[in-house]
This record gives sequence, C-alpha cells and structure tokens, in this order.
Amino acid sequence: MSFKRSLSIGVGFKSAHFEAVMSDDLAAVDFLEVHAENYVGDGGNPHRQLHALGERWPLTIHGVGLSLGGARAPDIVHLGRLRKLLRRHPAQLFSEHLAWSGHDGIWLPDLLPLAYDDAAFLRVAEHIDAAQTALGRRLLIENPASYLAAGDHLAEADFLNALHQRTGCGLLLDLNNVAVSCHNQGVDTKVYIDRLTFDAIEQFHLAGHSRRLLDDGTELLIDDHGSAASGEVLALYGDALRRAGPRPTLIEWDHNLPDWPVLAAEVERVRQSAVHALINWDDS
Amino acid sequence: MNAALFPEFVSAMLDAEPMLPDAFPRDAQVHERFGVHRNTSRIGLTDTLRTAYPAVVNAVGDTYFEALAAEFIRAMPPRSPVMQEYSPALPEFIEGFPPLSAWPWLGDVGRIDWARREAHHAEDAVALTARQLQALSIDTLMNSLPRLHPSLRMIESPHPALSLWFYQQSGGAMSTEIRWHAESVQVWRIGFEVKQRRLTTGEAVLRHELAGGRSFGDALHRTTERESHFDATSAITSLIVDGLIVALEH
Repeated sequence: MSFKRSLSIGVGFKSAHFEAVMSDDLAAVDFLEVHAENYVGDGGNPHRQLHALGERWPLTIHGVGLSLGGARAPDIVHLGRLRKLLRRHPAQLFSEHLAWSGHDGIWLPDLLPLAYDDAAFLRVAEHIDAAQTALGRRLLIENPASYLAAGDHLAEADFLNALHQRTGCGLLLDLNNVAVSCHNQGVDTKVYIDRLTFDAIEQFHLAGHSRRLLDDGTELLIDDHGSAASGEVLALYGDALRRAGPRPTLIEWDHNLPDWPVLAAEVERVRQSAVHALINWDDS
Repeated sequence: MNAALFPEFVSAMLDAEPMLPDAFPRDAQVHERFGVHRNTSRIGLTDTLRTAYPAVVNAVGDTYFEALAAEFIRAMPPRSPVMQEYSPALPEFIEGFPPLSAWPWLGDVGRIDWARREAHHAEDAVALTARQLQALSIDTLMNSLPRLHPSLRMIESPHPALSLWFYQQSGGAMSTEIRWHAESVQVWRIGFEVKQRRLTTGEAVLRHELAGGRSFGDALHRTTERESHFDATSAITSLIVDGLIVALEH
C-alpha cells in the first residue's frame, strides 16, 4: 500500500523530541512532518536530525512562507531554498497554505486572509503553477483558519476545488481549521465539508484550538495548536475520512508542547478514532 | 481581503495604534478579530527574537525585552519569509537605542548570541587532523591557503563581551569578577556543538588574515609583524585543536 493512500498517523516534529522519538522502539508514529522554513539553513544539527528521521520514517514537509495568496509571484529565492531542501530530504508530500504572509518585501509569521473572488483565484492559481513548476512536484494546499469576515466563507471550499481543477494541486484538509473558521464565520461545518472535492484530498491535519470571549460576548475559536484535537474535530475527521478514504493524517501540536509519550498516546487515540470511522461506515 | 488592501493591512499589523483599512467595518468586534492576527504576529516575532538572543533576554529581563522587541519589530520588520534569519540587526538597534545607552556592551553580547545562531545553521565540514597536517612538508603547508570551518564567526569587542555573555547566560551567578578590557571572541562549531571562547590578539589576527584569503606563510608573517609576542606554534596548534582547518588549497 502506498504511503499516499494509507491511514498513516504522523506528528509535527519538534527538535526537543528528537532523542525521545529516536529511542522509542515502540513508536507508533507512522511519519513525521516539519516546517520547511526551519530547515533551510546550510547544515548543522537541524539537517542531521532530519536525515536521521528520514532514514526511519516517511517525511512530509509543510511550508509556511510561500505566500501563495500574495499580490506578487512566489519569491524566487525562497523557491530556490525549498527546491534545495526537497532535494536534500525527499518528502512524500509538500504542502502550503491558501493565505498570504508578506507584501512589498515585509514578511509576517502569520497566515493572512484573502478575498475569494475572481482576481484572487487567477492570482493564486498562477502562483501555485509557478511553485509547482519551480519545485517540479505537486503542491497540497491547506484551508486556513479565519477570524476576519472574508465575504461568503462557503466560497472557500469552492475556491479550493477550483484551484485543484485548474492547477492539479492536491488539497490538505485541516479539520481544526474547518471547525475554527466555520465557528468564527457562522457557517455549518457539514455544509463546508459537503462542498469539497474529496478526490483531491491528499492529507489531513488535526490540532487543538482555544476559545476567546470577545467584549460583546461572542466566542471566537483560535487555532493555537496548543492541545489535543477536540471531539468535534475528530468527528469531522471521521466524516471526511469516510468520504476521501484513508489518507496520511498529521497531528499538529506546536505550543504547550507535551512530552513525547503524550504525543505517542495521541497518535493511538487518533488511529482508533480513524479505524472506528472507517469500519463503522454505516453508523453515520 | 482584496490584494489592494495588503499594504494597509501590513501597516496595521505593525503599527503601535492599528488602523484597519477602510474596507473593514469600524466595529469593535472586527477590531478584536483583527487583534488575533496582530497577536499571532507579535508573539511569533517576539519569540523568534527571544530564542535568537538568550543572553540579551537574561541581561534586560523578559518584560523589558518584549518592549525592546516591539520597538525593533516596528522599526525593522522581517525582510525574509525565513523567520530563523530574523534578525541580525538587533545588536546595532540596541546600540542606537537611547534607553540602553548606559549598557554600551549589550550590542556585542547580542552579536555573540547571533553568531551562535549562525554557527548552528552553518554548512557541515570535517576538520583536518593534526596527523593529516603533519604529513605535509613545511613548504607545502606555508604555501597553502587554508579554508576555515564555515561556522567560524569572530567578534572584536572593545568590551569584555564574552565574559559578560557568560555572566548573562549563567543568570548573573558567576562568581569571578569581570576584568574590563577588550575581547576577541570566536564562535564556531565542533561537530554539531556550538562553542565560544576568547582569543589572544595573535590568534584573532591570524584567523582574520586566513579568513581574508592569505596563505599560511603570509598570514603568519603578517601576524608576527603586528604582534611582537605572537607565538606561531601555539597559534597553529589552536587552529587544529579548534578544528578550524577544513581544507588546504595549493
């Protein structure tokens, strides 16, 4: 069975876990994912660790700096860094975001929202084409978490489907982002998921979110990757998994980083939830 | 949001008193929602700087560092999508920051922090061993152009920068008194471990000469001319012990 059609459960790798992961003979984790931008240096310990991990597990690489939704074409220097990285550490999947993070030479460590209109569609499609050509591989595009009203939020699923059709890119469906965005935009998660082209989904992301009460009493969900995925997110995952079929699934836990055994246990919890969803197909 | 709004949006992300582009409703809730993005960016950049400059953080304290970072981020936001490259410019900013003018040494302490960051990510290279170098004739060695380890960084400070760096790194617990004189500092990697140490003036001059592309013979000659007490044998030994010679070009 190929990795790309497997129910592999992976974890976002943190260097603090390196020794624990490497010495965990029972490690239940099936693959590891890293952020591309943390491995674009020339050498040293980051590459040593990634090389060691890559000898034992499939790797997937997740970019946060291409700014595909930006006003200008992807930065050529940055594409060069990514090309070098992907040559050095062969990755099963490479993904980026439907968002922008820089303008006019200034970059921010955030994924900022864009309007889902025709002009944006043509621009993002062109940028994905340029990146796929430069990297010589298919990109997966992830749905973002959103906080500000960006117009009709349902347009996001259509926008992603159309990008897949136009550019051949795959989709990375982040179920936590679906839960966060739909809550924050007042959209039914089921309606959002129903609109997606399931054949295009190549990977799932799961993560935890927090809640913040605004001054007027509205509750906002914040995609903070600081806890285990909620029951709601796992239910959305089960639903999407039944329709897309088994796909590599990543647990993102970036803040309030737990010890490795907690993450390993989370891998097992997600795996059981996934197996349950696939076996009990008729339950839903 | 429409791409025409990106410039205003970026300004609003960085400004001390943010004004969202006019296209957004003037609404308290919209402002709070926008605040989520501002927070993500502010915390992300501050954490990036905090991780890059641990000794500076120890020196000024976390609360002060956050305020300093906020000023710096507004003045010099990232110019690259690679946040681990953010930012070599903080030491110079500190030196021009009036509230820190009583601490003129803090910029060089920051330069040691940044040199460690660079050395950590520098290209890998295997050092030549003493045995490999001893196998060469003196003439061959003296005419060769040594290539130094790519991780090597040197800081010439008019302050006891490394003594102060160690003091800050130990949380101010070091018992030995700091002697107030200039220090030449070497930051480099042995294998995957980043190290730092003080250099004698002769060691520093020799490294600068070699880094400038001179042959061993030329570099030793020029160092001897500048440093009357220069001990060539021990300076070469220290290059080998530090694992700094990674190739010899003839």
